[in-house]
Amino acid sequence: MTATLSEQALARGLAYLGLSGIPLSREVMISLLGLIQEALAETEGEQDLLERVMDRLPARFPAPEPGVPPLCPALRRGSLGYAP
Amino acid sequence: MRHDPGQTGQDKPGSRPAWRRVALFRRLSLTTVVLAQTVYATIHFKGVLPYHGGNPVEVGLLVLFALLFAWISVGFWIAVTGFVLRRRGGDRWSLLNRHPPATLEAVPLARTAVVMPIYHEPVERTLNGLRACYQSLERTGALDAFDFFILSDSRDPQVWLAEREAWYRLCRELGAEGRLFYRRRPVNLHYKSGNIADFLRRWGRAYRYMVVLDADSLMAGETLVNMVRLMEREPRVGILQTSPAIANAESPFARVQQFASQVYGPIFTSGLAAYQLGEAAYWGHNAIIRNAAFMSHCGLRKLNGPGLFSGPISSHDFVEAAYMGRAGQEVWLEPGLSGSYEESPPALVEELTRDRRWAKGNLQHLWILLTEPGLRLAHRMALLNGVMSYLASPLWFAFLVLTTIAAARLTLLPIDYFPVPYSPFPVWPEWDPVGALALVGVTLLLLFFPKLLAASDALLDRRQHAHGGAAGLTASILLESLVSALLAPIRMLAHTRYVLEALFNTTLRWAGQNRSDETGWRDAFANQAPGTLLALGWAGFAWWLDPAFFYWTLPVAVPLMLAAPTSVLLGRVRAGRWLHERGLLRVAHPRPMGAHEDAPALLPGDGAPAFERAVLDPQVNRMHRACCRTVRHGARVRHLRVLLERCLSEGPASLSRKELCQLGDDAGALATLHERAWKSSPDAWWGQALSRYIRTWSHSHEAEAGTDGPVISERS
Repeated sequence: MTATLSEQALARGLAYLGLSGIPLSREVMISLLGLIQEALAETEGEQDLLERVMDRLPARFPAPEPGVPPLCPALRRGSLGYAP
Repeated sequence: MRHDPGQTGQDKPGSRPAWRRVALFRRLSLTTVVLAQTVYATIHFKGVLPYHGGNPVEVGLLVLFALLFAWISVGFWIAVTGFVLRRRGGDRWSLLNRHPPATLEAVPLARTAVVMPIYHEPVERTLNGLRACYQSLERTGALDAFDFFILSDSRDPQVWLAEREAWYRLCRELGAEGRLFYRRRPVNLHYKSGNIADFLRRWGRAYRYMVVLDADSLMAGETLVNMVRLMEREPRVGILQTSPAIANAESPFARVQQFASQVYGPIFTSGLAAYQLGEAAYWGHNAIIRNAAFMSHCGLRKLNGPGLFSGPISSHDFVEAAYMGRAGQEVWLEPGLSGSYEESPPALVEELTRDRRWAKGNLQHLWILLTEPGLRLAHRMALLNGVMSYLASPLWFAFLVLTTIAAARLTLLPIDYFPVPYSPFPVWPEWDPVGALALVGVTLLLLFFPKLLAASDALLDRRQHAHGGAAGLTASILLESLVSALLAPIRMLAHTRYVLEALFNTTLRWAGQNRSDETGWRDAFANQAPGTLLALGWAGFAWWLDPAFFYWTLPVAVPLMLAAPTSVLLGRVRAGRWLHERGLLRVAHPRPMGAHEDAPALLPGDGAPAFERAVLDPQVNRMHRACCRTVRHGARVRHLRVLLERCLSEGPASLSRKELCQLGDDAGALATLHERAWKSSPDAWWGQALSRYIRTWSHSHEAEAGTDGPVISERS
């Protein structure tokens, strides 16, 4: 069970980093493995291993945050005219 | 393009524009010719009838014949006029011909919004088209004067979340931040016209003009720029309508529409524009509008009549043009503006689905036509034309019914030799088949001679190469004519049903409706069964009544009997390609602007529903959160928490569409869903969804990286 959870933690970690736009380099892989190792070492019965790994991921790997373009420009309100 | 120095389009303020005299003369001429032709033909038809119009059935036939004959005569003369004008180098009174290219190029551009109202459209296809327009405009160097708006009325969160995601990706791809916008309306009031009205209330004053596109519209950058310049040169013009050609056809059905549009379209549009001049109709898309005039005069009230004539106006475009005309603004159709395209429905079923809406919308115009004060006669005629485009079908149907009754009377009832009371002179009632054939010949001439003119126009312009050469052009016209003849009775029956449904405010259900691109055989037979059975019954009755009458029913009955196979075969994309490979139905612009060829995908092909991607993908989640607010107080917060827990434990399918919208529109809910989904147990609903998502991501990541190594994925 532990091994399976560790694999899942690794898979999720890698996927999360990849989807966040972080290149999955050798250094990133080593760092992620270290993070999982630390989380595993903290307690036994690692039902919350996934939670601990996902909690620490953003701090360990700051993701690039491309800005979101404005949905709409500034309002310039007007009204519609109706025939009488 | 010719320029008449006497007509600069800058008439003195307050003066009556010179084109109005020309329009009056042209319209009077057309009316005179059509009336004379119709009267002559009706008198001839009276002679064909057994009792020469001496009983109510035959009087009914004469009235219907006159209406239908006049209707097709108008089309005939419009085509002839268009052909003559094109041979003479264009209409000197057209808007484009008044301004030489050098003058137009020097006109500075005004701020213009390009708006695309959408409602549950295929996201990739729609935004591919918008991308093509944007890039085409960018190549002209005039992009700075334009902003683009996607105005969504979509209610399904799986659709509007995908729309927003695609908008975001398109912005980044094009570098269109601050120039391409996305607005979703939470309340879908008054359909498309309400969507546009909402845009104008929020941003209409920020732009001098707006160009309205449909989801399947394409407009070249040069065309957009020329339209703005023409509007700047012609301050009286409130709406300038292009004549979009149909393009991007795949199925035989769409290819037939495309061929007709690109071959026959030029002469019909030129003729129509020549008679309408500055009192043309607005078709709702591929047109530019002067915002200030539109906002002042084109607000649409709900109709306050009975039944169909109550509620919001669903076909708003013709009405808006009429209101513009009432306010003294001009509405022009300009066939000389090329680079304007739209798509055809891929199959008959889709066309008829669309026609059902349009039939109701156009029939509503009867109320406006009859009750709205101050409309110009030309716009009333345009509204009537729109009504007739659907009303002609039940009139034709009634004509066939009365013809059958007349034939039955003559065969089954004792002959009345003295139909005229107190007259000593007997009447020997009999049909005049030779006369009838002559009338049929004339009718066919009115319907098919314009096609010959269009072919001549193409040959004289040396455009035949685009249509497979002279032989290909001829064969294509014959094929198009055959398909049109097969489809006409099917459309007649469907439109008759739609008109009756609209007028009686009811819905008549057939066996079912298929909305997929290619119609299956089972659905086709189910849909067309009533018409097929009606045709079989009618033809059988005719045969029993009089074999000679039976042969007259065949041009209508046979297509109805073949409706199911026609519907299926015309919808097959493979059949369309087969025709194209053999040089049939080819056109000059099959794939304009490269909108859908090799277009990079806007949405990942992971197969995940948009809501799942919005929850699971970190970047997509962040984007959606940035576009929403967070509800912080009150009962709404508690309600959202309940929805959240249900979504987390049972998945999105446990929520209604409205509930999913509430979650998808709240930044806090999206953040919580994202965080908890990634932490969820592998056995939980979101744990399993995440497994699938990661598996797909790993495969695509591996493919991009080009590795053959082991795939890192969650094992369930």
